[in-house]
Amino acid sequence: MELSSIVQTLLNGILLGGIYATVALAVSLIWGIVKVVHIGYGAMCMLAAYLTYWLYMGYGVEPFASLILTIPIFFVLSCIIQGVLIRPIFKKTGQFDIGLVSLIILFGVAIFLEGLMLGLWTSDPRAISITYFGASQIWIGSIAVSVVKLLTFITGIICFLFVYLFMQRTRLGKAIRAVSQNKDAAALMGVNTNYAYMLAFGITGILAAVTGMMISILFTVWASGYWTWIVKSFMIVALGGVGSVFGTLIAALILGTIESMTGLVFRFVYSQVIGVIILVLIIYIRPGVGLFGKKEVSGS
Amino acid sequence: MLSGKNVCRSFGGLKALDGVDFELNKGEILGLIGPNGSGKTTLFNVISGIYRPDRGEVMFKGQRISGLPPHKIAKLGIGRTFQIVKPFEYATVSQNVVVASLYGRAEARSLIEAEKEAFKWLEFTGLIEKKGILVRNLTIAQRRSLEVARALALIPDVMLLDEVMAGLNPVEVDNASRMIRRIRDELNISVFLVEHVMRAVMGLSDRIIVLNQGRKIAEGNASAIANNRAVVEAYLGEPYA
Amino acid sequence: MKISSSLKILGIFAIISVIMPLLMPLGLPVFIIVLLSYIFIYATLSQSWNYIGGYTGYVLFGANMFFGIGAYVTALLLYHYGVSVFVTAFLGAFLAAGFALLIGRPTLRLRGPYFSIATLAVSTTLSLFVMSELWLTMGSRGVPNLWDPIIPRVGREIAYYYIFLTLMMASALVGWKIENSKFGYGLLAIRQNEDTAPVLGIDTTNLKVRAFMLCAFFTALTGAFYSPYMTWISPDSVLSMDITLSPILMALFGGAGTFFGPIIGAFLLESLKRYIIFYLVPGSSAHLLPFGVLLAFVMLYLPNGIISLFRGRGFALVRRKGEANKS
Repeated sequence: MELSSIVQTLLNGILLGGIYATVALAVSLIWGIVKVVHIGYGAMCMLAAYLTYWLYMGYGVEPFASLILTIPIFFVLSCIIQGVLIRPIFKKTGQFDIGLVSLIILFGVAIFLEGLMLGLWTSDPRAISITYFGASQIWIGSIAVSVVKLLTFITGIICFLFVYLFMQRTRLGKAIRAVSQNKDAAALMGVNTNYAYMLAFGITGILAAVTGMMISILFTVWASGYWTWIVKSFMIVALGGVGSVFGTLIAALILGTIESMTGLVFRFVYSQVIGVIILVLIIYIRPGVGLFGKKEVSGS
Repeated sequence: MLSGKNVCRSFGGLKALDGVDFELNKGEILGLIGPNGSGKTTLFNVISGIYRPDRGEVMFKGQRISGLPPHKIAKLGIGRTFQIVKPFEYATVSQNVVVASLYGRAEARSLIEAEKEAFKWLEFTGLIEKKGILVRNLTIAQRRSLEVARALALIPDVMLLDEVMAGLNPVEVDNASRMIRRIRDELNISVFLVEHVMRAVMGLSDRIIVLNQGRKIAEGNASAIANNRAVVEAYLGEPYA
Repeated sequence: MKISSSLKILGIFAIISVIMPLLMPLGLPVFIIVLLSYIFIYATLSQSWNYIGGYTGYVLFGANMFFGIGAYVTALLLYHYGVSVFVTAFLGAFLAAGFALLIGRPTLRLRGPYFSIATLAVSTTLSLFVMSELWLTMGSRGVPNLWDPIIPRVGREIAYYYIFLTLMMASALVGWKIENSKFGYGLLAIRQNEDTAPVLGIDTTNLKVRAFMLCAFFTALTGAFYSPYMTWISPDSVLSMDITLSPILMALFGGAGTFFGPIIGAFLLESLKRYIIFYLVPGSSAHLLPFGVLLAFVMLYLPNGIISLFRGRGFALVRRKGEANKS
């Protein structure tokens, strides 16, 4: 096996990991802040992907440009989901605990969105093939780097920076972190927890729009395809630690690289299996905490 | 009957229990007092098997139980109540106790038998009138009684009572004390009692152990403890006669 | 033995169901029989899910893997060797139970949503595995030509009707038995307060795994008979999200934690689904829209399911005549 193909695979793994990281970031945020598992996020991303596709195919709107439209739409959508479906849970106590109830409700959201997507766009997979800067690949020595992958990777990093800076530097971000650490104490200090949660969901919406756009130009868009994304996101969050932005990034890069390298030697399916195996191992060794997890959402 | 030697348990860097020795004799009511955070509940958790001790061991009726899973320890004959009551909220009072009758040492073989057993314990703790009511509708005193009834239904030899009287008014405290005495006198159960309500502990216990910061700092009968300088400084505040 | 009203209703329902096909010569259309067959299938799946999801409180998200195991074992043995499903069905069911034992121990350590995600992960991986290991499973083309040697071609609809009816009744009776047994009380304890249960002498891991294996068994058994019923299976048809989703929704909607709830849920929702798919918006998956909405709103406003409208909001397992159970 040539060195260059190993390096190539490694590089692809890192790029892939960056994309995984962006998907997992939202899940990690909601998990850490609202303490809820957002299983509907995958469907939202896929919906965003379809929307991007539709804008491109129907109206010639370039994917990155379409973000101007999709980001506000999904921000609002996500806030509505929080307000209508999630907020009422916190007022009730019932047979199941909040974690489970919210999980099932968001599962309902996922199913609803899947039905919507299947209805609007049928189950045929769609794809956008697009080239930037006039080339589909650039070469570094004998290693080919896909332009699209590189651009989306950079976009992903920008997302991470955005979230990090928001959480650490802005007043709103700090308020949200306070809520994630200690809801009641934050409330006593004048933070409106409901708005904090809503904002967290809103950020998830923004991330969904971006992720969806990335999926639409990188992969095939297919209504039932989001389940693998969700499962991988959970693996990443479990591995990297709930609520840790940095941990999510590292974990995702690790997963992407391992998948890529495994795929080089074994067949495709085993690259997926390896993720599950790692997940099980981590759950055994450090349940709930992962490699970097903390009890709050932190920037690091 | 129940003894522990050099029981140690740490959490992270914090030593919750630092070499505690204790002995509960048959037919005894042994009191365990100490300031908050001194390790009382942790000790109970170690005895009932929820935690393993890092060092040391716990013996019950000549058998080593430290390291056994909690359900086995329960079946050997140790029952306990929790400081923060943990009943099955959405089940009825009788169902809560029936569970214990089924899985404890009563080994009831059918639901009917288990129910009969359970009613016995509900009578003992004065909850028989409430048998069909959902637990979430009970008062705190009633919930405490239910915890005790449930533990009794295991037909234990030893009962670990963790702050059964917290939050009770004086009348309720007296009722609880009477019940604890009956548990020892009528049912021949040895009682290990954690309590902050001083007059109850002093009145009930044959002997008292005092914990502070994970260590045993005193042991003796009620008046010895009340006048023990170390205990007074750490916990009681003033000589308590 | 006390006979609760649910059991009586179930008995009446059973008798009516047995008689149904006899009305066919009198003009009863076939589609009713087919509809009922599907209702029975989903009622069994829903009931099986209920064992681990409702009674034990561990919301399983990957039951389709058991269904798939049952379906594929029967299908492959039928396709390659012509062995009748009546022989191979139990093989598949036991294999699935064994699989449940294998993954049950690690995953059941996890609480709440973590368990759901872990089982989801395992099941998606299994789907991928089935789709890629062509030598074993014939991949996404599926396994065709599944005609069981014992079941006659003429009147097969009726034969399968009775098979699925039997499965539904068997699983319902198992559910009823659980409710009224020591096992059921143990599961109640785990569901309501898993931290307390061991202190009462309950070996929680043992009970959880048993419930999980029961679920796997019946789900796989249903899948096993599904293969020859459909005469052709593929990963999409037996490992789809729908097989995972529908039973969960039906159990929750009808009333998880009771043996009758899943049956009500299956009855109402499967009918709704067929109505939507075949009449309202033919050939689509439009049923997902109301299903998604229902799932969310059931959890918010009727967490104990439809059955709670008849019984009050309590969640007791044992019901006796005349015993009040109000919240």
